[in-house]
This record gives sequence, C-alpha cells and structure tokens, in this order.
Amino acid sequence: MMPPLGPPLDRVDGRKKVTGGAKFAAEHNLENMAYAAMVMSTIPSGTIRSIDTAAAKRSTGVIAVISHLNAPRLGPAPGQPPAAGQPGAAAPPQQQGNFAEPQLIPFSDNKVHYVGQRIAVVVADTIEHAARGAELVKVTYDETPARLDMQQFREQGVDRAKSLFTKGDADAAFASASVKIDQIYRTPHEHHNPMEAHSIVAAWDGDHLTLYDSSQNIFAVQQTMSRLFGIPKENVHILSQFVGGAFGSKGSTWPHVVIGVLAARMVNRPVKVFLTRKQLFFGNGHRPETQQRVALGANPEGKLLAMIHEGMSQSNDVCTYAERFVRPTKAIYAVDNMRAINPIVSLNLPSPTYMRAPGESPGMFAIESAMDELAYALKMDPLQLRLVNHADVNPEDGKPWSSKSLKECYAQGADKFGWSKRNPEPRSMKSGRDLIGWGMASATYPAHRSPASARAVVKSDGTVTIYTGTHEMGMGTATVMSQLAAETLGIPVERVRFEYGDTTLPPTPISAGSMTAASVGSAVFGACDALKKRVAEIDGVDPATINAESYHTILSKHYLDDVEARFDAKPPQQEPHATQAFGAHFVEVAIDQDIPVVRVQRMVSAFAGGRILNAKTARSQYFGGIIQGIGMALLEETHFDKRLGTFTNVNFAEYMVPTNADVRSIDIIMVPEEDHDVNPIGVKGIGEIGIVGVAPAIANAVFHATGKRVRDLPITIEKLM
Amino acid sequence: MRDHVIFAINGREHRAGGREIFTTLANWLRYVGPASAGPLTGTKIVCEEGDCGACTVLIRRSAQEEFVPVNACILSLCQLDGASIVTVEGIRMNAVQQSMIAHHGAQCGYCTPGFVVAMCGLFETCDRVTDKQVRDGLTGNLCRCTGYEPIIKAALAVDGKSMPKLRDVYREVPSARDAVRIDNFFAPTTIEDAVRFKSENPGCTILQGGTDVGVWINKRHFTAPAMLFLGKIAGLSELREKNEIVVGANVSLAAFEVFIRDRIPELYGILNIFGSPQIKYAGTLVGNIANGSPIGDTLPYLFVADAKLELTGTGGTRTVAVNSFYRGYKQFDLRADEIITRVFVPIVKDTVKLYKVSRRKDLDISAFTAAIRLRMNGRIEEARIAYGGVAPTVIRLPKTESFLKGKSPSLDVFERAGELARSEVKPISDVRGSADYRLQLAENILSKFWHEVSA
Ligand SMILES: Cc1cc2nc3c(=O)[nH]c(=O)nc-3n(C[C@H](O)[C@H](O)[C@H](O)COP(=O)(O)OP(=O)(O)OC[C@H]3O[C@@H](n4cnc5c(N)ncnc54)[C@H](O)[C@@H]3O)c2cc1C
Ligand code: FES
Ligand code: FES
Repeated sequence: MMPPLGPPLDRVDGRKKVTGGAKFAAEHNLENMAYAAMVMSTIPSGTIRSIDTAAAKRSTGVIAVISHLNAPRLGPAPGQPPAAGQPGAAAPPQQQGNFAEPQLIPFSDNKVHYVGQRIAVVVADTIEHAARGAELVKVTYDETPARLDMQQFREQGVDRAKSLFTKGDADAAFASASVKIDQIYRTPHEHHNPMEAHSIVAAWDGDHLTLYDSSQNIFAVQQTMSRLFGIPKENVHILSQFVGGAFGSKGSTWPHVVIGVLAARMVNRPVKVFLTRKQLFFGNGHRPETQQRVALGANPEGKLLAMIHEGMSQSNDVCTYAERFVRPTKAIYAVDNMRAINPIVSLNLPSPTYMRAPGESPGMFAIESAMDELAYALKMDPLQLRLVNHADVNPEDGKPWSSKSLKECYAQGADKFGWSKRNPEPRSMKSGRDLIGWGMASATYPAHRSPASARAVVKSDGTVTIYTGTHEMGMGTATVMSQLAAETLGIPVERVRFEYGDTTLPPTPISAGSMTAASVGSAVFGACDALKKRVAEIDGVDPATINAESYHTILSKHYLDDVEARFDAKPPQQEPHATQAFGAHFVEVAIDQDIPVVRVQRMVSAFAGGRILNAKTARSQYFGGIIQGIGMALLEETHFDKRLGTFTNVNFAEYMVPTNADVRSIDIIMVPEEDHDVNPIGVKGIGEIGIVGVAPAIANAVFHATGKRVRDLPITIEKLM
Repeated sequence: MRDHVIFAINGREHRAGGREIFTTLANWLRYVGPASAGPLTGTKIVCEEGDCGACTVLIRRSAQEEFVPVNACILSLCQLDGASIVTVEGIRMNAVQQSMIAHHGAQCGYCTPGFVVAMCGLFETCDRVTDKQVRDGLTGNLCRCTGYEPIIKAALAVDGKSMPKLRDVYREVPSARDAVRIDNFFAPTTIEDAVRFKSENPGCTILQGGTDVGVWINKRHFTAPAMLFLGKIAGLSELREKNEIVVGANVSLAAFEVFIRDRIPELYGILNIFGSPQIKYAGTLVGNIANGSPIGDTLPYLFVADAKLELTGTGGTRTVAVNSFYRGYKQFDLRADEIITRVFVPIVKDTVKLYKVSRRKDLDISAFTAAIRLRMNGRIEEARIAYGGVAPTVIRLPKTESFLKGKSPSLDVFERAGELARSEVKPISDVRGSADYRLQLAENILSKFWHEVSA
C-alpha cells in the first residue's frame, strides 16, 4: 500500500518562521488592548488576610486590580481527562475540559496552596505598567503549616492513578531469586521551559469569546471556557496557529488563561497575558520529583524472575496529576512476577503535569539503571541481558504486539556503535586523562490514538484544502498531514493546503502523547480516501483510476465548484493488539579524571516507530527528544527550597538546558516497520520515545567510565567527585 | 547636547526621549515599534537576561564597523544613540533563511528568528563558515526543539556569496556625535564631562554593555539615581599592544578576544567559552572588572599577570594593581568620582594555565575559576595562583605559592600543593555548587595542572 518510509519534505510553514512572520499567540494586537500581569503568592500554605491595591491602582496606566475580593465566581471546571489508553479516554475531545487545577478555580476564595499561585491580576495600558502595578500590590497572609518535603510524608502516598499492577507473587519470587538488585532511584523536578512563554489574547463581544492561546488542546480549552464562564461552547472561539514549544506544558488550561479571560470581561477590553520566565516555573506545570524503588530478581542465566517497581512522586490537592512512572514497567520485559505502583504524595507545591514522555522518562531511568546493575551483578553483557528478557507479547495483558522491532533496534544500534568491542570492566577504557564509558538502555513509549475529525475539500482547479482543528508546535504536523493527504489523493503536495489551530474546524484531541500523527492522520486519511471515492462516484469510475488530473477533469465536467468529505476517525472499542514503539540508545561518555565533567561524545539511537510519514520531521522529533534526554541526564533540575517552599533557580541562567556544544555526534537509525494493525496509517508516534532511555544510557556509561553509580539525576560534576 | 537618542531600525531613523529611553530594545520593538511599521514581533522575548538569544538583533555604531549580534532584551534605548540596528524583519528571505527552511532548522519556530539573525551576522565577514565557527557563533542561542543539528547543518550549507551583505543593504549609520542628556541619564563625549557628572551624582551607575546592569534592571528592578554611558567617548576605544596590552573602557570582550588570540592564547581560550557572542559583543573587559564578581572569568589571569587599572577622576588619573583593587564583595579602591578608563594587561611568557569550571560547557557562569602561573628553571622559581568562586573576591593563594617556590615539580608536590590550597580557601555553597565541591576543585586543579604541563 504505502511505502514504509515517507520521503523528506520541507516544512510548509518554514517561510513564516524564518522571516519572523509567524504570529504566536501574544503577537496578536487588538484595538484598545490592555495587558495583564500576575501577582503570585509568596507563601506555600495559608489564607490571604488582606490585599492592599491602593498603590497599584495609583500607578501609571493601571486600569484594574482583580482578585478573589472583587472577581465574580466562575463555574466548576472539568479537569484533565484520563490519558489515552485509560478508561474514559475515548470520550470525544469536544466533550472534555482540561482545567489544570479543578480544585482551584482562580480567585474563588482566599486559600493559598503553593508559592506562585496566581492570587491577583493587574490590568494596565502597557505591559510594563501592568508589571509595575503587580509589584505594588501588597498581600498579607495567615500562614498554616505547609507540607513541603516528600520524604516526610512518604507514608501518605495515594495511588491516585489507580496504577497498582500485580502478576504472580513478586515478593516471594524476589526473595528466592539467586541474583538481586534492590535500589532507590531519584529524578528531580524539571520544567518544560518551552521557548515561548504561555500567553493569550482574550476578547469578548457580548457573550462571545475569542481567545488566541498557545495551546496543545484547543477543543478542551473551548470546553473549559464554556463551563467556567457559563456560555455555550459555540460562543468560544480558540485560535492557536503557532505554538512556540510545549512538551506537555500547554496541554492543560492553566490559571493565567482563565484569569486573562476574566480580566478581559471585567475591564471590557481585549487583554493580553504574556507570562515571564519566572512565572512559568510556578503555575504551568512541571515534571514532578520521583523516588523509585526497583527490585529485580533473576536466575544465574539472567532471566528475570521478579520485578518490583514502586515509590512516589510529588503532586498536590488542587490538580489531578499523577506521574505514572510504572507504565513502562508493564511493557518492557518478560517477567512472571511483578508488582508496580506509582503513588503520589500531595504537597504544597505547584501542580505538576505531563512533560515529554511522562511516566516513561523517569520510570525508564530507574528500570534501565537497575538492569545495568543487574548485568554487572550477573557479569553479563547489558545488551545480552535485555535480549534474554525480551517480551515477545505484552507483559501486562499477554496481547500480541501489533508490531515490535526492538531486537532489530538493538542489533542495528549495537552494530553501528561497535558495542561488541566494549570491555565490560569499569574504568578500563581511557583516552589520555579521560575515562571513557559505554552504556546502553532501551526505550519504549505506547502508541496511543484518540478520536479525531477532518474535512477535505477539492476545488475544480484540482487543489485540496484539509481542515482539522489540530495544533502545530513544531512537530511538523502541517507538513506531514499535507503529505499524507497528497499521497492518499494521488496529487502533488503543492496542491494541498492544511488549515488547523482553530476550534471552528473539525475537532481533534490534545496534541500530546505522541498521538497526533496517528489520530489526526487517521482522520485526514479517512477524509481524503472518502473524497477520492466521492469524486470517482460522481463520474461513475473506479477510485483506482483517479489520478492527479482527475479532480479537475471530473469537477469541471460535472460543473462542480467543489466537493468535500468529512471523516470522524475513532479508535476501535476493543484493541486486539498491544501497540507500542521501541528503541535503543548506545552512548559513549568521556570524563576528565580531575574535574569530572561528563561529555557525551557520541550516541547511536535506533527506533522502531511504525511507519514514518516524513523522514526529516521524524528525525527532528527523535533528535529533539534525545537532546532533552541529555539535558535530563546532565543538566536539568529545578531546585526546591524546603524551608521557603519555593522553586529557586527559576531562570535560564540557573535552570540549564543543553546548548549546541552539549550535542556532538548523534546517529539516528530508523528501523523500518510496517504495521497494519496499529491504525489505518500504520504510525506509532515518535514525539516522545526519543527522550526515553537517554538518561539511563548515559548514567550506565558513567558507571562504566568511573565505577560510580549515580542513582539520582542529574549527573553533576559534584556527584562524581 | 541632545535630549533624545537617534537610532536606525532596518534603515529607518527613529528618535526616543523621556522615560522611553529606559525601555529595552526588545520591549520597544515588540510593543511599540517604529512609527511606520508598528510592533515588530519577529524579535522574541524568552528569558530577558541574555541567556537564550531569541531577541538577537544586529547592531553597528559606525559605517566602518560590521554588524554584530547582541541581545535586545538587556539593551536599553539609551545605549543606542547613533546605532544602526537590523531585526529579522530587515532581512528579506536570504540564503540563510532558505537554508534554514531546507534543513528543517525551525521546529516550533520560536527560537528561529534569533538564530537567523545571529547566523546572518556570521556571514557579514565571510561567505562560508566552518563547523567551529557556527558552533561558537551560535552558543548564545538556545533551542528547545531541534537539538541544534539541523540548524548547524543549515549554516554550513549557506553560500554567503549568494546573498547581499547587510552592511551594503543598510549602509547609513545615523550621525549622532554630540552628547545626550535625558533626565538623569548622560552620554558625554569627553572623559572630563563624564567624571564631572559622576562626581556631581552620587550613586551614579555606569552603564557600558549593560550585560550585568541590564540584567539587574530586568530581574531586580534595579534603578539608579543617575546613569552614565561612556560609549560615545572616542578616547576610550583604545586597543593596542605596547609592551603590554592597553584596553580602553569601551573595548568589547569580543574585540579583546580577537586581539589576544595569538598574544595570550590561554586567556583567549577562556574568552572563547565566556558567555556568548551576543554577550561579548555588548559586554566590555572593564565591565567585567568593575562588576567585581568573584567568578568574573577574566579576573584570575589579570591577578596572576599583575594587570593594572587606570582610574580617572576629577583630580586626574592614577594607576592601581588589580591585585589590590578589590576590597571585599563588590567593594573597590574606586572613589565616587572615578571611572576605570583603561586596563593594562601584561603578556606573560611563563607557563600559565587558566580554568573555568561550570556545569554546562558554554554559556554558563563559573562555579570555580583558577589561574596558575609558574616560572621554572628546573625548579619552580616563582608560582602565582589565583582562584575565583572560593571567597567574596578573586584571591591569590600566598601559602601555596610560597610552598611551591623552590620545589622541583612532581605530581607529589602538586598534590601537596592542592591540599594546602584547600586549606587556604573558605568557599560557600550556592546554586552552582556546594562548599565541599569547591574545596575539592581547589585541590584537584593543581594536580590537573601538573598532568597538563607535564604531558
Ligand atoms: C548571559 C550572560 C552570560 C555571561 N557570561 C559570563 C561569563 O561567562 N563570564 C563572566 O565573567 N561574566 C559573564 N557575564 C557577565 C557580564 O557579561 C560581564 O561581567 C561583562 O564583562 C560586563 O560588561 P558590561 O560592559 O556589559 O558591563 P555593564 O553591565 O555595563 O557594567 C557592569 C558593572 O561595571 C560597572 N562599570 C562599567 N564600566 C565601568 C567603568 N568604566 N568604570 C567603573 N565602573 C564601570 C558598572 O557600573 C556595573 O557595575 C554574563 C552575563 C550574561 C547576561
Ligand atoms: S530574551 Fe533571552 S537573550 Fe534576550
Ligand atoms: S524550534 Fe522550538 S525552540 Fe527552536
């Protein structure tokens, strides 16, 4: 049918981006627009005693100061729906809301749940005046004891995600295993830090709302606004043409959106909100800190007999988020006895949220580090250990895989890297004063899909426009979908236009969980396929005879200006297969012996992610994921001050992300994979798997180089000295 | 004397006066913009402290100069008198942009204009770039999506001959030679006027490149009773070698870096990983000295080389040694009316090694810095050691220095010197590292030095 690897195609929106012409949310300017700046709480727990707004109100340009004292009460907001693959996830997107903090409707009362909570907003005529006004708002509090330390409250973990999974008798099998590893692994708070700050422009016209948002989920924002402001969904128009990076942080409706919309209503003017980098660290989600115990028991041949994965991660009472770090546990190795659970500990910290490969990314750090430790305990090659425990069916439910090419990933990656030349002894490989280490790890991420719709319209000149409400955050959706449409219709891609990022278009799900290509792609494929058949039908010909010129010929012949078709794609109710993407990373690090800075010298990463629609955009997605993985391994960490209850390194100088110098030779192998069962277009999603497994591969290489096992990320110079 | 500043954006002149001159260029572009065009939103604001390059614009201050990249988020309009600026909107679909499209250099596209502008800057002085030039040239630009590879490839594929040089597109530079005085802001044209203003305005802050001061303004809402900009004083642009290197207060770190490449290769190596091109084109050597941070990267060399500072006040000039200039955390031997006018940087012929330890290779503030200088003649005749990041100022290590003197060098000697060095410093813990970590670095750096020089 379709070739397994799509040809590289240049991005359709590249021109706007390189000229500065791409308009991001905050770059829309409306007549008579005002600016809103947030006032953030400075205590982690308690109530607001007073808000003195006098100085702010007197300040130049200030129009209004809004807080719980004068704001109208808003309706209850539907929270983030369960993630794909969870019960209830199949509800069409237009019925789901996504308010990040369902228990904290902005300005509904005087309670403070964490430092950085948006407790008031200042609206002014310029952004600088608004910011100045916000500084002048004086707030007093009655503090109550705050819960700030996850360790202290570890006994109070709650399995919010209903994650408990058991199979066989893990404890007994572990106790009797002849080779064991039982360790604690930690991952820190991390922030997505997309380059574009969260921002909106909101405008009311009577009870109609137009909202330019920077969002990964516009239909859910629409639903959320409709509920909060008590207006019909049809009255809410969300536009999100360009999104300057998100990585999960723009999947929920965060308080600033609600507050900006509320402010616009109260001052009766369009309002723009553009958060500062510092503010982004508080009310827009983060990857929460985790502490994970992994216990592995194996026989002397390396066969896993028991796997226990448990621990905790931070969350709070106002959101519903739980970091599901045991999700990969159930998918990665064949083991008969397993117990896995990921409780949360509710603390007075800002709300966490999903960040690129949530669950898998921290979870696989623990699992794949433990596997490396097990390999050393067994005196076995780490790659061999993984082959011995390869899961031929899904360990969770015994379902067959729709496709799985992990062994090919291992083989091709190892071959290209030269893994067979590895001397397993730690500290055995050197180059000058540098210790050299080689490490590897597996990667995995589920292939999700959600309902999505698309409309395809062909004009009599033979050009086609695809309408679907999806988002473009840089994954190349517009490009890839245009290409898919062109292929399905049999026309050159230059004749396809792709319209997206607008709630007046057919609904699509959140662009996250690596499911955009699969979900939206299935809809686009369906719509184009239907369109092609309809055009064939009009002329009474076999759809197989339709070629690029047929559309023009047939429409002209029948005096039709245009013909259209719509398709609502739904995942099957019962999925007979387990659907999952896999991969493997091989890493070489070099570490100076006196000042142990870890440098990632080279990497080979092999992925099998179903059909690749566009090799260029796919490569970029894998690559971007890998770099964030390097960041996670070596740099990224948000420090939390347990005395003050606040994140401290809330800027780009101290929250470090990789620069180009941190990235050397990275080889990406895309293992071709044909999959007719995962979905109609055979794709598995590639946006997240790139990051999964990078950190443990690096940590394993660091152990090989130095003999030092770092079980808490990031791996800093300090931890190696 | 004028009451406004004059600058050009993409070839068109603008004037700004009153409080507006304290707006950052990035804010002004995005929210106000040229009267003819309105807001120019191609320039992005991401970090507001010089750390990401999303706000990169090109600037030059005379027709003899090339356009160079700077961060518009920490540059105030008051620093722009007489400058010609090019934003992404002033670059019209050239080979750089085409290459960025062809190589998928843009994913989400938010960092893209900054990269495009920085890259165009690189091609002002050459038609092809090497891998090293691109990587160095783009260290100041962060991208969270692409992993940089496609961007680097895009730059490597550009043929600069196929596009016009921006200096030929935007030939004119506004003529604005006279002094500017707006409120409490003064940009004089002579040193005499500058020191007089400084003496008459206690608490006056000098604003040079603004790579420190600009960040304070954005992040700490820093305000000063008066501000003095020296950039228009022609006499302060001196950069020449005369036994030692003479560096005027207006000399940028970038110009200094190029000048010392063959003269002081070790210090060149440090400047190579100092901040980013944007920071080095804006920031000055004198600013780094006068900021007085204990982790200022140029300082350890200046300490072991015994550099001198020329200070000019209302009563004339005097010279002080860098080694005695610092009196405590951000406290200097500098009178209220004085400004640093020149630095004299000796070219040391002895063995010198400089170290900057930071978590990230590029664009990171140091946790620890060191300069080790040895004069040897079989034995160690003289040792000078300066550490940064272990005390409120950069310090010398007299005990370790005298221990080394007269010894014949060996690993053992340097290991013992390391232990002594450890006992000589009292670092504190902060976000860049704990006290223990710094103590360990203070010790290890001496054996590292030995391994390097004996190799
Ligand atoms: C992103 C970023 C990265 C950086 N990276 C580094 C780094 O790697 N290493 C490093 O050491 N620094 C770094 N810095 C700090 C800064 O760039 C340097 O200190 C720079 O040299 C300051 O020069 P300037 O001209 O910009 O100073 P300004 O900010 O203009 O002034 C700095 C201080 O010096 C005073 N001053 C300036 N000129 C004079 C004078 N003639 N007489 C008396 N006082 C004067 C000012 O009043 C002020 O107190 C970085 C800064 C940023 C924003
Ligand atoms: S906005 Fe980051 S450097 Fe200017
Ligand atoms: S393309 Fe998104 S930050 Fe660079």
